[in-house]
Amino acid sequence: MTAKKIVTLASAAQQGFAACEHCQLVMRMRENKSGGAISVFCPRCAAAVRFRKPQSLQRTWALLICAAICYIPANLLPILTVIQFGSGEPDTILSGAQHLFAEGQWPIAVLVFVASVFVPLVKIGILGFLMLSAQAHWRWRPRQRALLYHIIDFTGRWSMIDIFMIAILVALVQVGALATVEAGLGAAFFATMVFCTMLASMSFDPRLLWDNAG
Amino acid sequence: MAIDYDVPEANIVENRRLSIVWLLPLVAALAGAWLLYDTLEKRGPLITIAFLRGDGIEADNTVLRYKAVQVGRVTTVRIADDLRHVIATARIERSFAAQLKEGTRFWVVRPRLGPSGVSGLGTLVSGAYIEIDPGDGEPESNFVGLETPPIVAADVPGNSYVLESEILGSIQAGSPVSFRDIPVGEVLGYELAEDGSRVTIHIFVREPYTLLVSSSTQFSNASRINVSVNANGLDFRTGSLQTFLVGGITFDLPLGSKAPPSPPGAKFWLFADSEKIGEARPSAHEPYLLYFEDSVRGLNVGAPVEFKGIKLGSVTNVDLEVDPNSSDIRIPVKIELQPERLISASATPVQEPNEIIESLIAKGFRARLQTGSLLTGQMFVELGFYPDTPAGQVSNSEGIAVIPTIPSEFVEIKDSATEMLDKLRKLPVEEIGGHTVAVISNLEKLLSSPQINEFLVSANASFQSVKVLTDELSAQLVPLASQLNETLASVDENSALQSQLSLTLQQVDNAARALRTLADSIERNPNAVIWGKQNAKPVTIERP
Repeated sequence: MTAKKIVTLASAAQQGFAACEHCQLVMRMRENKSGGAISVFCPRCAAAVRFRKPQSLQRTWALLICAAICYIPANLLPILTVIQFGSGEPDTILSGAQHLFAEGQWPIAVLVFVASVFVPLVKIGILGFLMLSAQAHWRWRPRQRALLYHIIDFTGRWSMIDIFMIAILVALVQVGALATVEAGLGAAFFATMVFCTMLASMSFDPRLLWDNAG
Repeated sequence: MAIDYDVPEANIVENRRLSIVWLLPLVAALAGAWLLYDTLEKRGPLITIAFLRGDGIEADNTVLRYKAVQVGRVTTVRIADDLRHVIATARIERSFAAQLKEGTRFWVVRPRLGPSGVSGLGTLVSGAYIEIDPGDGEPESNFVGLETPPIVAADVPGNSYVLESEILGSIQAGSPVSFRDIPVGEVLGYELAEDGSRVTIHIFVREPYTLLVSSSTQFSNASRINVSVNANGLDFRTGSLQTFLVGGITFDLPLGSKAPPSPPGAKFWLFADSEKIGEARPSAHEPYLLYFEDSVRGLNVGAPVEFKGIKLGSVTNVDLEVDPNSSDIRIPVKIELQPERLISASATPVQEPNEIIESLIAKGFRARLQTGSLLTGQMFVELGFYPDTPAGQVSNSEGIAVIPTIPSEFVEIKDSATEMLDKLRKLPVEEIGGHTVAVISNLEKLLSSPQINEFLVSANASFQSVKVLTDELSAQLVPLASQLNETLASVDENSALQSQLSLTLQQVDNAARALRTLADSIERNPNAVIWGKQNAKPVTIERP
């Protein structure tokens, strides 16, 4: 089966078929005869079924822009302040990675940098590229683009590992005057940013990538 | 299905309505913009502070505080181009930036052991920080930091005063100033006077104790230990342990003093200790010049200047001055007086000391040399009133008032002796000689007269009769002498008189021997005359 063959096929939507997004059951969409507003549900899992996600592009764009905005303060503002013996310096993600690197823990430093700085940036970039390609009805390699989407959809949740770590530290390290960990405003922006990218990848309908392939 | 029918397709128009999700990026953008504005708004100007050393100052870590509130942070620390200073650049919060004036002081707070105790212990754990003390002046952004914390913060109400002392003692910056043992201020610092003659000490007195500082206030050094022996026994007095260790100044206000408080910066004299307050008040040393014509042998620098036995000052310089025009030689003696000691009882002490001296000179105020000790020949200058003596010319020499002098008593005696000799010399010797010759010629005439001859004849007859009388007397003397011989012979060798005489002679001999022993021991130990015999060996006088 080649790509050429696929693009010659008529899409399921054109033939009046839709798949449940949750249980993957393919069903025939009935015509609306009552004339009123309708909702379509999966006969097997009762989830709402639509040909395409409503306002997918618009919502994804909004969430993506929100994530991009939040990315800036998330990296500039301190996310964590470790106070030892009454003195402590607020750390941004980058300065934290720098400290780790300076202390010789470069694997962790690389992990922090990749998971917290590099991955979100790449994710926003790729999602933006997919959005543009869907909007511009590109026909270029829809399979690879679909693969890209699945990758970012999968890795996106791992960016939250930073926030979880901060939450655990703040909760655990409260030894009064000896040592205290405080979360900074940057953490809130970082969480918002990760949350927005996850919502954006959810609201993006990968089927749009295939719509113009034919 | 419907696919085979030719049915027109419905126009499906995409929903162009804006999604509510767009609010999210809007909120995020607003939040970001507000954060940006807030950061820029709080971001104040950069200032530089130069320190001699960079102890404890770290870039991005050291904060600037005012009253323990953070108002800035050091951003960079670098060495000045001349390698003499460390220049710390700090970003001050905008709200505090307006307080940075010329007089603002900066210093690094770190643990210190000072006169007032241990300070800055908290920085052992938290690290050093830079403290700010706002001052007055024009807005400024380049400062020089202090190496030690200032003694008194700028916002403490009070006044500073200047004390002058002969020596510093153990006073140091930060030493306490107390009034009746209540700490009321601190010593700010000290310096040597320009001519090196005394020490200038700056002190600070807090309000409301500044009311106690008036022209009659007397400052004294509290850091001494006073040990005195009086009728009550041994008296041992010292200030607090702190003043004992780090020195201190105490001041006192005489009871009933109604002098108004002194203005800030007023000058006072610092007495060596509170006992000396009554003795001297050398707040003003006024120089005066005395010109002596006589020898000043025995007059040394430092010799006292006395008035009726009270020391008023001392001699500071003795010179020899030659007038190149008239070849007159005179001896200018420079003295230092404390004229206010002389006039403190005066009702109007407002006059200038020089004016007072001038009026005194008009009343006969004179100086003269006096012999202080006949043994050493030391001289001192005595001041006194001699209204009958000429004032001479009262002039100023190089701005120093001149007190007229009169000759000393010794010179007076010498002068009167010379005067007597002069009178003797003026005696009419020749006239007297003439008179004498006349008297002698008269005498000659008298001798050659016949009455004299008659007198001689009668005198000869008188002598003849006297000779006869003597011959008779000698004839009677011989039996008298033989009778005396018999009497002497009757004095026997063993008679009581004889034995008594020999005993007396023996005693005289013993006495002579004892005298010789004494003379010998004095020769060996001349000080035995004063200290007595050193070894308690009894003197035994042997009888022969």
